[in-house]
Amino acid sequence: MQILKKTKLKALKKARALGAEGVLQVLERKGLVGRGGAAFPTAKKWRMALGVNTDTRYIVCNADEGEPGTFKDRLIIEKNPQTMVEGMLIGAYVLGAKECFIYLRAEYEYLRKNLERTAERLVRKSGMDVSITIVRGAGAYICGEETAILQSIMGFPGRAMFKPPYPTIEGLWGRPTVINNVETFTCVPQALLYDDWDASLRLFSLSGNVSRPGVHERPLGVKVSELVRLAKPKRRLKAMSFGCFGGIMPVDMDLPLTPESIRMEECQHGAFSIIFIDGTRNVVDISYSIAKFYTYESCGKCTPCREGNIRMLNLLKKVRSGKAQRADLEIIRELAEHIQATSLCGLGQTSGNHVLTAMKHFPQDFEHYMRR
Amino acid sequence: MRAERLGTQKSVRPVGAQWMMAEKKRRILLNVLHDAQERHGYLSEEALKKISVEENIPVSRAYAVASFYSMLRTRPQGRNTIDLCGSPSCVLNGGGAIERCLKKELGIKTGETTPDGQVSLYKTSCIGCCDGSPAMLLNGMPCTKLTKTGIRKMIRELRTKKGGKGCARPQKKKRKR
Repeated sequence: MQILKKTKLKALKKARALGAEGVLQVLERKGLVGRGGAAFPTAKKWRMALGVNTDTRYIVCNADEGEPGTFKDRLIIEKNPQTMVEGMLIGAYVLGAKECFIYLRAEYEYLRKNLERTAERLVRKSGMDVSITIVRGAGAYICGEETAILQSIMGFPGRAMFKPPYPTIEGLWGRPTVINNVETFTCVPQALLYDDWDASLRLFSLSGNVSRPGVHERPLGVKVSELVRLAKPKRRLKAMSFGCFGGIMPVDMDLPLTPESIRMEECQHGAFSIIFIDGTRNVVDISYSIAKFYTYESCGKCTPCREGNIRMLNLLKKVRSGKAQRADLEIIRELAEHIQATSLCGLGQTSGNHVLTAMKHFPQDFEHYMRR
Repeated sequence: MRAERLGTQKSVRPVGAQWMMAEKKRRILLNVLHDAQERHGYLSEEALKKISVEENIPVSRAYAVASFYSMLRTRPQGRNTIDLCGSPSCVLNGGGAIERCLKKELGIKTGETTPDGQVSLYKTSCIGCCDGSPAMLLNGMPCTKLTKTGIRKMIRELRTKKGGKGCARPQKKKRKR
């Protein structure tokens, strides 16, 4: 796997030889984009922070991988933390940052000791005047969102804030702050050092009703059939869900997985976490468990998300109990659209995806409960 | 006005006094709370009051943060904590049956502690072990590929081990290749 290649501080040495501008040019040429899901060009993000006239900048590594079905960052933190920390050090060199934070989710507490040791060792070896602090998350999904993660580090409840100002302009304690994902920071040294570094490779986290779940590295545009072959399902697959927020779509074996093709099905790829669902399951049940997730994880700031998702859960409960009418389905659709349109952050804006896509692609599953 | 500010990226408005203060102190509240929780078992009213004095923040904020995050507990918890994963991957692989089994064996509901103070049962959204579903965290360590027999054995061991933290791990399902 390309992502597990170690760079052993050679990339940092090269970065120092190239200079800040040189590093940014290489990252631009290689086409490194953020791997958290939004695919924002990394060099552009760093340039935005550099454009602010100040002497203090911060770097935050987002290791709050809360999306159900995603476990690629865990793999990197377990197997290749050196390269991730080196990526942060390169970022600190380019941005002139003196302080870096790793926001590690509470569920990965068992990885903290090793990560801490690695960070300390690398900082010492590099001889840079940088400190890396590990912030221990405490089990809030919303803290994966970039404004919420800043609130959380500054010692407030992790609630999303209005943008702009973007964190790259005004982040931690009002200073420009660059927030990148674990995978992005790991890619930085690899992209700098290796000429054959492939920008199209992505990590696919496969799980669900399959006998060989796991993380696989494949290029964008990989056929669904190949991922299915890797995951070895026990029975015929019916649907696949992109985490919780991405939506549920039918398993179309010939579909090449690119952001565009996924968007055509009204889904979102996110961090390419795919939960396979086989033919014995009803999609409504999965949608119900996802609605439970949103009810639990809404931060409570925006009323449509806080209250709407509870209503959504109750409506889906009604559908599952067989008491729902056709009018209820219309209410579900309307409610989902309302929550999406009126919520502030990504959590609320995507919280209706699962039920909208399920109703579009699997009306027969809803019918199944209606007829009872 | 906001758009304007974004447009002029060259100059940033002066950092406010409250930010300067907070920036200088630079202790991460979450880490402080985690440490206190490890020492006392949970974040009691007294602990939060003490932290608020040390950190020079209102008690309301310390409590707001402690109660916002699900892994910070403001009520006493058992010597052993179980965080059961509730992600769709785990639900698809029999997470529901595991949850029922846990509740039955422990005789408590989610979010409660057994009367002997040995085990607390919580449910989380996802613990990032979808490749080993159904999964849970036992005292922060992941236990994957849970089975009912493994759960029963683990709880027996936790029950008999009075005092310190149990380190029993449930049996793993053998993987068929």
